[in-house]
Amino acid sequence: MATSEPARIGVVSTWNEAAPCNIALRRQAGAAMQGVRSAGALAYEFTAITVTDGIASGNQGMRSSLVSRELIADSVEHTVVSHSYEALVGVAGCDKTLPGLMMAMCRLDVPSVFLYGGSTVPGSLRDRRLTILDVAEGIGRFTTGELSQEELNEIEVSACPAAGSCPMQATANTMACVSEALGLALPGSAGPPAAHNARDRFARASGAAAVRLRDAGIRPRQIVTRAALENAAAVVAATGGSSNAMLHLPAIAHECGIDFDVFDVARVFERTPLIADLDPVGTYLSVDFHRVGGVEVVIRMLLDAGLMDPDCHTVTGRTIGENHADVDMPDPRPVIRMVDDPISPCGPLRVLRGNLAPDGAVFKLAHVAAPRHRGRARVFECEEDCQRAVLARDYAAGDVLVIRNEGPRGGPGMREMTKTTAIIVGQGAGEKVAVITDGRFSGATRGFCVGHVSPEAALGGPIALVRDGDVISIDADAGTIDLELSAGELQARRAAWTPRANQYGSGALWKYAQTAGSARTGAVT
Amino acid sequence: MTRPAFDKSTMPSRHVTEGTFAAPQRAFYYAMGLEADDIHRPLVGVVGAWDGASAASDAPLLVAEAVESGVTAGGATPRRFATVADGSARSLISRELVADTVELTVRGHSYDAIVGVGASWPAIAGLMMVACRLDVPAVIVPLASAALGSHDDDFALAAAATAVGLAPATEAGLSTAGMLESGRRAGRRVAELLRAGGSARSLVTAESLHDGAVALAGAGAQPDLAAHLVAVAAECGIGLDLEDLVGAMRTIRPDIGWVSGTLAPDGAPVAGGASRIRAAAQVFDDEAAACGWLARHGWPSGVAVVVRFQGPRGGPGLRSLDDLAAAAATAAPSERLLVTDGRVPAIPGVTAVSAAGPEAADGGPLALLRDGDALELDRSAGRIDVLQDVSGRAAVRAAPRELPRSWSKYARMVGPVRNGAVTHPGAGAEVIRYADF
Repeated sequence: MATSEPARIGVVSTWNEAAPCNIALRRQAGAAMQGVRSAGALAYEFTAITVTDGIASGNQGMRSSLVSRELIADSVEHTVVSHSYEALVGVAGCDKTLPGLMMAMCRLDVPSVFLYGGSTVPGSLRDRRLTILDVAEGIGRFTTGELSQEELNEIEVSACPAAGSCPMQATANTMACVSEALGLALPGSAGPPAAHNARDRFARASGAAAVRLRDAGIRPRQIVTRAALENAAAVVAATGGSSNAMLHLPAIAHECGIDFDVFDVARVFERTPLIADLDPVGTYLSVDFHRVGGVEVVIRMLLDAGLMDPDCHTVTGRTIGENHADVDMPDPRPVIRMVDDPISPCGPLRVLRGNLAPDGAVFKLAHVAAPRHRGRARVFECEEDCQRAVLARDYAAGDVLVIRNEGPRGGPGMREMTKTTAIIVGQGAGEKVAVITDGRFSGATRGFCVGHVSPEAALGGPIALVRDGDVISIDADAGTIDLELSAGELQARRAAWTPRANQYGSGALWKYAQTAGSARTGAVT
Repeated sequence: MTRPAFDKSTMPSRHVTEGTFAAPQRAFYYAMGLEADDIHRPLVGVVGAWDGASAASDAPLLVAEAVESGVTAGGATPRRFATVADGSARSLISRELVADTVELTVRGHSYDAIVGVGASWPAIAGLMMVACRLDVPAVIVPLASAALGSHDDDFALAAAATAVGLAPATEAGLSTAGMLESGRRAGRRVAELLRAGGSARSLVTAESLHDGAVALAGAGAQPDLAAHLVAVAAECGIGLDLEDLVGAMRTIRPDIGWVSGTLAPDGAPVAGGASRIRAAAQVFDDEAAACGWLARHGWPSGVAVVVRFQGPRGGPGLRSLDDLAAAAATAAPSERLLVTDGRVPAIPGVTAVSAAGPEAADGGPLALLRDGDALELDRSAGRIDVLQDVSGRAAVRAAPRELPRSWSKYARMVGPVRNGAVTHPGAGAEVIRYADF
């Protein structure tokens, strides 16, 4: 190769100063460029945007979050094509940036290596470990008078001491585990916190790996196969990962031309035990998980149990089975339990189906005592309407609170209903009412919640036809969600239905609302 | 907690910095090293249309850092981010990506104001558009400079941004120190706008857009470049089109005009010296084929070169026929006619009808044209016609090709150049202004 031009490699990060999740990524991008150069190629840095859910939560900004995933993928594609980069290293910190970069890699199908930017370390206050969730819960405790303003301020200032993503199994860490399980990231690269020097080592190695993949002609679509997507779903199930994976895995699959929808993810969840006891579904934080070996240990255990396909290719040039053959296996309990002694026999998300959600709905099993609910519908046309009713405690035990027009097209942007559910839990009613929506929930959501109801209301899905007083029954064991109405009544209501206009007649959100697909297949454009 | 220096009660960032419910957001700001005083100031999004591929595309992030110090000096809190530079594409697709990505970043984090730094015309145009789309206090810092190897169109659009009222007056050929100083000034300026309450749409008027078009003309731009100002007008809800702005350019550039007719029912700008040409069409569906033909045949008298499928949808992205311009210059024509639905740089001896609408990809008359059809440009009558009756013909379709997905999405959404080649309905269809949420 001595006479040929050096390869030109793009190094993209989602660096910016919006939030701690992404603010330190340029250092890792710099190390990745060193890795590219040391392997004899040329490195060109660029960035893609971020919308940080932690900032957007509970306000209009949340509508931009899922839309940003599409524009991240589009802008990375546009830059790589325009510059004819021959390979790509992608460094992402939080929320939609991880799936956005993985989608771009699969769409471009140029040799690519993904690298997570790492999570933050927990804060501390008088020997108590704190995370961002303690701040959110602190609001509830403040409103009930349990915390003083000074105490809440102390928690707020102390909860997040450094750069990095949320230090629990929320969306960022879930998708970081996915990046290893899919084979798009180097083994072990998801674990070290953002501030650890080990990240620079992984970044240099990722840069060098991208050059090797380019020379070997190994492309993302050879790595991201149906079996690899099932491997990724298994790791999400085993670690109690975020329900957002139910959107992102189908979206990544879509870029590869693979039909892999929410029901395909659900089938993997049914056969995969929950073994990692991680916050917010469970107990331990990301630093604890990393200390006992992290996702590499989970992958090795699932491989040993025959619950993952060992033959999938990865960015190391070897199979995932080969990569994990020599993983150190000290006793990881109690952070990670044994496959034959799991926390539960299935992953903590169920996909329901019924006449209310013919294309599926996602139910969060965690923190729910009885996975059954039957009650009368209270219908709200947007999250704010429901929030007002909940703040006024204008609901009764047994009610099914239906929040609609919050889907990919309806919101637009499929907002997270986290604030409303948090207030309900704060009022001690988390087990007494059910919340169902065509929007999303976050990894931190507790209570009896069903999201991703599809088809969404904006497209005339059955959720658009529900009226106050209708009886809705949900049975997560049976996997059903039904509106107790005759087909004839539903038909009559559908004939009389007209879509409700949203608040976005122009701009990027309007564009997304024109083209976004169903949550069943990832809400892609 | 000290008293906020600004009135945040109506600013978007109050949702993420004020009150008990913003405690988690404040925790994130503390994590980035901000202190309570910083958090309760207005948040200014400072964006560089940046990448590391060249000196020109690298400069905006450096200048954005200088903007940050100006914002801080002005008493507000800057948050820097970056989005796509134009790369090597020089494409309207870049313009839309710049506007859309900045929009989402600002909406997502409830920023109160924007300072946008860009070096290429697509970046400058996209930043102007998004400032008006969000209608917050905004300052654009265009970095057109000989030292950065800026293109003529970059200089022209920088001048227009100033004339429109969105950018401070710039000096061509800024040194690095000069660029950093203009960045610091822009940061202080946006803080003043935040205090005074002047948002982008209060700066941009039909008159200032006319001034912008005149500035383009003065900088030697081809008339199709004014389409970006039409796009800015759409973001403001100002009803003007490319014909209006080409008319404004004509006030100081008699070589520029507007024609319409059976070849371009929706009209097209024209630039060049000839007032009347009749010629036989030589039709090409892509630029390379046209260049090849010119290399073999030169550009004979009586031949009009037509290059179609170069429009916003067909290109996609309103391709500029730069290679063709180079090939044509070698052929050293005089009094020749070029017609395209794309863009054309000025070519000596050639009168060019560009951005002709409807574009071929939309099945306009350009798609019906065949080699040998007689074309007539008559500028005194304001006409461009095909003299044959082409109405019975079937429209030619461009050869199918696989496009990057972001490009095919763009091609599906984009509208005609006459209306700015925009991809959404603009402020006229806005339900709630961003700053009013």
